[in-house]
Amino acid sequence: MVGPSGAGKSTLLRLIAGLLTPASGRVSCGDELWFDGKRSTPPNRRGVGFVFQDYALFPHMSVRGNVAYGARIPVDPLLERIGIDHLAAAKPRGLSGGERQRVAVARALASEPRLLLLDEPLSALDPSTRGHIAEQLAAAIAAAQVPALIVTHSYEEAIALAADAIVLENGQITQRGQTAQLLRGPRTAFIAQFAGLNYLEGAASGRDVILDSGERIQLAEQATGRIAVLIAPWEITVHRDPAGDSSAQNNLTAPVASVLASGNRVRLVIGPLTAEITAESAERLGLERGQTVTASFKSTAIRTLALREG
Amino acid sequence: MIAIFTQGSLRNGLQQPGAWTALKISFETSTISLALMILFGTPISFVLATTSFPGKTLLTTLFELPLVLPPAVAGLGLLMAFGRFGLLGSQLSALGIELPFTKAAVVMAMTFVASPLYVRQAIAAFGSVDPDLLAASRTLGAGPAKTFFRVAVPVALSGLSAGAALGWARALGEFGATILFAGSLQGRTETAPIAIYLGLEQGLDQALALGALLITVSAIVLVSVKLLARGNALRFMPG
Repeated sequence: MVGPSGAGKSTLLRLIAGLLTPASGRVSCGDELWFDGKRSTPPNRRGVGFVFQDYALFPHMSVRGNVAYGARIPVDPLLERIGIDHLAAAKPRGLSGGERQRVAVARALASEPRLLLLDEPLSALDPSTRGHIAEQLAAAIAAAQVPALIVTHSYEEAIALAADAIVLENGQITQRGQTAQLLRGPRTAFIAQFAGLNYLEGAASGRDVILDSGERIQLAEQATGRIAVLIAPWEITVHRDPAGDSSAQNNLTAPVASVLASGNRVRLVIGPLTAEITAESAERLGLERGQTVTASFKSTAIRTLALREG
Repeated sequence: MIAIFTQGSLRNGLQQPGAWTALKISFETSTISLALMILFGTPISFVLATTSFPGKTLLTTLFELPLVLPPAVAGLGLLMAFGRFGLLGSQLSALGIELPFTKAAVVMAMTFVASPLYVRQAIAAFGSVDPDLLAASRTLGAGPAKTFFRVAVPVALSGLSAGAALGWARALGEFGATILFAGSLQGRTETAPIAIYLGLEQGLDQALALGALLITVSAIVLVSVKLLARGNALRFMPG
C-alpha cells in the first residue's frame, strides 16, 4: 500500500488490526467478521501480526522474550530461521535498526498470524542497508506463507516487497494492480511521481501541448484541455548538439541544473525534465552542471493523464 | 536539620519506650497506606493515562485535590464524613464500625493526603509509555490484563517506584489530617510526627531522636527516588 503522507495508510492498518475502531463500515478477514458497525473483535482475538514503524519492541525483555511473548510456535527454530538466534539474550536497546526489524518480524510471525501488517518496515533503517534488508524481509514473508499488507513510501521498496499494490490517496483507493504496472499506467499525479516519472502539466490542443513552464511538446495522439504529460526518465536522450536526435519529435534545450550519480546510472535535471542516462554516456558527453544540453524524447514515449478543469 | 542531630541525646531519646511505639505505628500504618495506594492507584492511573473519556480532566483534578488541600481540612473532612456524628457515621455505627481514633483512621488520613502524589507520578509514568508497545501486546494475543502486568507496569516501573517512594514518605510525615481524624492515643494512633509534637511537652530528647530518624529516612527516600529517576524522563513534583 502506497500513498502520500496523510493519506490514511497507517490508520487503515490500525483499523484492520483493531487498534482503532471506525465510526462505520465493515472489517472482515476470510469468512470472519471483525467489525460490522456494532460489534468489534478485540485486537488480541484477530490473529493479526503487526510490525510497527519503530518496531515497538518491549524494552524490558530480551530478544527471545519479545519473540516468545505471543508465541504459538517454538521460538528457537524461528529465531534461527530469521537469523537472530545469536541475539536471543540481547536487549532491544543494543541492537541495530536491521536487527530490531528482524526481531519485530519474528515476534509477529511467532503468533502464527493469519495476516501480517507492516507499517513502513524499512523507513527506520539506514538507506545504505535498506536494499539488502528489503530482500531479507521479502524472503521472510514469502517463507511464512502469510498474506501481508505492507505500507511503504518508496517505489523501489514496493517493487522489492510486493507483486500487487494499492494506492491510497485521501482515504480513497485510486489505483490497484501489479506493482510494476503502476509505472506503465499511472492514474494520478501522485502515482506518476511515486513511480519516478516526469510529471508536467499543460494545456493540450490537437497534438500540441503547451506546458505551464512554457515549452511546447508534441504528442503521438490527439488530446484537448488540461493534461499532464508523463515521460519516464530513461526514455529521454541527452546531446550536446542543439540539433539533437533527428528521430525524436521533442527537443528541449536548457542548462543542466543537477547531476546525481546512482550506481551506473546518472540522473540529470534539465529544465523541467529529469533524465536518466548511463554513467558511460554521461562521461562520454562530459556533462557538468550549468552546461547547456538538449534533451530529446519520442512522442510515442509520452503518456498523458487528463486533468480535471480548474 | 543539623540542629536536630546536635541539640539532644539521640541515645537517651531512643531509650524512651514511647518513641519506639510511635515509630512502629508510623511504619505499620504508612506501609498499609502505601499498599492501598499501589493497589488502587496503579490501575486508576493507567486508565487515566491511556484512555480518554468525558469528564476525565474533572476526575483527574478530583484525585489531585488533596495535594493542595490543607491537611487539617482533609482531617476535618474525614471526621465529618466518617465520624460518629458525620455524614456516614450512623450507617457505620449501625454496622458496628467505629473509624475515628483507630489505626484504620490513621491509614485513611495518610492515604487521603499521600495518594495524589503516587497517582500523579503514576499517570506521568504510564503516559510516557509508548502507546505502540501496548498496541503490540494486544496484536500478539494479549488481553488488557496481560498487557497491563507484562508491558505497561514493567516499562513504567521506575516512575511507579519513584511515585511510591514519594507517596510513602508523605504518608510517614502526615500530621495534620491524622491528629484531627485519628487523634493522638499513645500506643494506638500516636505516629512519630505526632509523638514529636507531643514530645515538646513530655521530653525533648525523644522528639529530637524521632526527628533525626525521620530526616534519615526522608533522605534515603529522596536519594532512591533520584536514582530511580536517573535516565528516565520523569516529571515528579515533590510536595
